[in-house]
Amino acid sequence: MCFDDQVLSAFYDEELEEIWKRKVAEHLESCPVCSAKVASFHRTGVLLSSVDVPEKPFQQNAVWERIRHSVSTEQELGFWSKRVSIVRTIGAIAAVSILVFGISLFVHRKSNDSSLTPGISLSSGEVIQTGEIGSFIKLVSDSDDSSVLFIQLPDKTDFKFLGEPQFLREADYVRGR
Amino acid sequence: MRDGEDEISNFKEVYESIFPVLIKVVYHIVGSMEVAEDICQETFIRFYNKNIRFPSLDESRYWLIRVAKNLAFNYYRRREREYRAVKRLRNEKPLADDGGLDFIFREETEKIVKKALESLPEKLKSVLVLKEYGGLSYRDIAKVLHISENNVKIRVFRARTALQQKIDKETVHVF
Repeated sequence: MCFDDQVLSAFYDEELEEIWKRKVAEHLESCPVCSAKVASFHRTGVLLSSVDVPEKPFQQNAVWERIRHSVSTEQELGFWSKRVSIVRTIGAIAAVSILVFGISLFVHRKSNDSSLTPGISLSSGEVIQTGEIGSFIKLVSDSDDSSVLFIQLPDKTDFKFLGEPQFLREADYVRGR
Repeated sequence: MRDGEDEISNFKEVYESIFPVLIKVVYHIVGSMEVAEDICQETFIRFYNKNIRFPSLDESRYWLIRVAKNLAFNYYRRREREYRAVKRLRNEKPLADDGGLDFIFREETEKIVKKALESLPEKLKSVLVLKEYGGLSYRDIAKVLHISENNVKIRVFRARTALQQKIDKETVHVF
């Protein structure tokens, strides 16, 4: 019985255990088909060896000197002068910047929320915050037509927070209700 | 902190034991001696800078071969992409068609074998190069590539068969 092709390839590479090596060797003596397969592996090996590495005198020493020089230069330069990856450095800077910007945005927003909330001033001098617009609508519904209303803009004019005036956003929100 | 001269001396010992294998393996992947030298140099500098403590000399050799092999294939892939891009721009014929006037059989054979080897998939090419040019055993190849020895056996066989089929399509003269 013939052996598997992979076994014949391993036989050619001398990778079989002794007992299998003997069995395959015995088989090859009487099997032209398997012998031809091993011969073709040998032929491939010969062809591959025809493409050998070009000889280059003193190559090993020359490359070693380059490595040695590079290694000793890095040692002399010390930690702060070590080569660092540009991509990693830029990535780290970008991540830190985004984090700092995010935190400052959050803090800024918190500190400005109250001052940006617009109010509606009534003739009586009472001021109704837009957050309490429900009570304003109730007041308007309950009052007669002669009531005078003043809409008071925010004290600060920093309307551009988050890209659009908060006042308009709040007005839209109320209208949507 | 490194211990200066001792460290360099150990480093050189590793270098001398593996450089001849490494340069062959890398050369047969990238096809250029200058590039192979640069890749070997880069590999050893990485090895030194990482300062990994390996349990044995063999383990450090596996690491070096693995890194060099990966750098070589990275280079090879980049070069292929660039070559294809340039070819598209110039609208040239493929490299395979430009060797018709070479009457020297040895050179012709070498060219055909190189071309066949280059055309193998990376998985097959790496085992064959490590086996045939690096002279590594199945066990060593398995350690380098992080695969089983049985897998190495299968890949080596498939690589040989594929290579033989590619070569058989051409007329080859063996000396």
